[in-house]
Amino acid sequence: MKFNHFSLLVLGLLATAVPKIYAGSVEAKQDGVPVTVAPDKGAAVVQTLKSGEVIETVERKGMYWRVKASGGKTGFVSVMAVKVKASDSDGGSLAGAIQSAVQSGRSSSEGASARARATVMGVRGLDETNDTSYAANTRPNLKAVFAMEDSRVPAVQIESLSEKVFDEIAKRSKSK
Amino acid sequence: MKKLLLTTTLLAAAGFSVAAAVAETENKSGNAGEAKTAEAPQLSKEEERKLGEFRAELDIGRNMAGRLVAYYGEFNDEPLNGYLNLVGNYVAQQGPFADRRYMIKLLNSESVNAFACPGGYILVTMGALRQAENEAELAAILGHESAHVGNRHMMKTLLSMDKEKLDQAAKASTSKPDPSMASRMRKRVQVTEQSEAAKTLARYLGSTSVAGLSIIAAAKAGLGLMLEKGLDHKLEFEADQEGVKYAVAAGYDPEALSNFLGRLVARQKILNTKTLEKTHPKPAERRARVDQLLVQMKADTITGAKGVERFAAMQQRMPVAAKAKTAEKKAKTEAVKGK
Repeated sequence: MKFNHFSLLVLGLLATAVPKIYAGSVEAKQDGVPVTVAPDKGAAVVQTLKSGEVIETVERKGMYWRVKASGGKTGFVSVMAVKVKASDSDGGSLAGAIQSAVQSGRSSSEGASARARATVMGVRGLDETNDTSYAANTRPNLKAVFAMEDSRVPAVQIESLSEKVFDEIAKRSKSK
Repeated sequence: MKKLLLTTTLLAAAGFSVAAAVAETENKSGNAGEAKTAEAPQLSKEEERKLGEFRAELDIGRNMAGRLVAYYGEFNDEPLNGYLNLVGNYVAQQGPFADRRYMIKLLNSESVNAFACPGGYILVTMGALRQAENEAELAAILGHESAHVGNRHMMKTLLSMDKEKLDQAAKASTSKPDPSMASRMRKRVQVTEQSEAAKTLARYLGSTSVAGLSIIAAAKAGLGLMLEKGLDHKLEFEADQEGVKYAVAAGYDPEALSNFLGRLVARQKILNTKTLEKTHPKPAERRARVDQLLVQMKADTITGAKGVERFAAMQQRMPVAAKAKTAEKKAKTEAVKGK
C-alpha cells in the first residue's frame, strides 16, 4: 500500500474529524510489532509491542488500526500483526450489570415466569399478507424471548471467529 | 408504590403515556436493581446512566420481540441461531456500544426484513438470510441492527411521540386485519389458550399494573413503527453507515452491504420486501449512500474477509423455501423432458 503526502494529510484530517467509533482492543501476535506514526509500513516507529501485549484501538483505518500508543500518543498498527480481543457477550462490569438487569427484571415482572415460559407457540410463522394487522395483537412469545436472553456468546468463540476472519484476509492479501 | 402507579395512571391519561411508562419502568427496575448493584462491581456514573437507559427499554423491547416472534414464528435451529449471535456480537463489539446486550434470533418468515427492538433483541427473517451470499453481508446486516440498538433509535422515537401519535402508530398495526390472517390467528390463539401456561401468561398481561399496560401500549406503537410507518429515514441511513463501519472493523469485506442492497434492487419483483420497503428508504437510495461512504473510507484499499464457506454451511440449515422448491421441481421436470 502506497501513500503520498497528500493522502496522508487527508487521512490525518479524516482521523481528527471522525468521531470515535470503535472501542476495542487488540493483542500483538508476536514480539516486535511496530506501532507507527502513520498507517504506512515505512513510517517512523513510536513503540513496539511484545507478543501478547494488548493495546486499545480507536478506529480502523484501511488495513491499520489507529491505537492509543504509550504516552497518550496516537499510533497505527497493521491489522495483520494483531488479533482482536473480545469480551463475553455479557462480559465487563456494565455488561454484567445489564445481564443482571435482564434476569432480575424478568423475575419481578413476569412473576410466574417458569409457567409463562412453557407457553409454546412453535407453529410455523404466518406469511405476511396484505397487512400486518395482527402483529400487535398476538400474545408475546416470552418463552422464545427468554431463550434469547439466556443465550450468551463466550469471548473465546468470538476470538476464534476473528482469527478465521483475519486468516482469510491474510490469504486474500497474499493472492493480490 | 400504589400512589406512584395512580400518579402514573393520571399522567398517562393526561397524555404523558410513554414518558410516564418509561419513568415508571425506571423506578420499578431501579428498585428491583438496588439489591443487585450492592453485590455487583462498582459502576461509574456514565455506566449507571447507561444501565438506567437499558432498564427503561427492557420491558418494552421484550414485549415487542415476543409479539414479533409470535407473529412471524421462530426458526429453532440451535447452531444457526448460535451462529447469528456469534457474528452479531463480534460485529457489535467493534462499535461504541459493546457493553450492550445483543440477542439475536431467526424468524420463520420469507419476508425480507430484520428488526431491532429496544433492549437489544434483534430478529432476522429467513427471507433476509436467504438473500445474503456470505458472512460479510450477514455481518453488515447485523451491524445495521446493532447500530439501531446502541443508538436507541426506536426508544428515542417512542419517547418523542405524544399520546395521539402513539395511538396512531399502535392502530397502524392493529386495524382491519386481513380475513384469512384473522382466521389463522384465531386458530392459533385457540391452541395456545387451551394450555394452563397460556392462562398464566394471559393473567400476567391482563393484570399487570398501569405501567405494564403502558408498556404494552408503547410496545404496540413500536410494532406499528416497525411494520407500517418505519423510523425516520435519517436513522436508517445512520444505521447503514455505522453497520458498515463495525463490519469493516471486524475484518469483513467493505462492499458487503452495498452488494446485499444491490441484490434486493435486482430481485425486487420476485422478493417479499413489502414491509421492508414500507418502513425503510428504497434499497437503491440506501445503496447509493453506502457507496458514498465506501469512497470516503477508501474501501478499495481495504482487503476484507467474506466467510463464504462458513456462511453457506449455516445457510443450508434452513429448509428450502416454498418458491425455491417449486422452481427446483419445475427445473427437474424440464430437465427430464429435455432428456
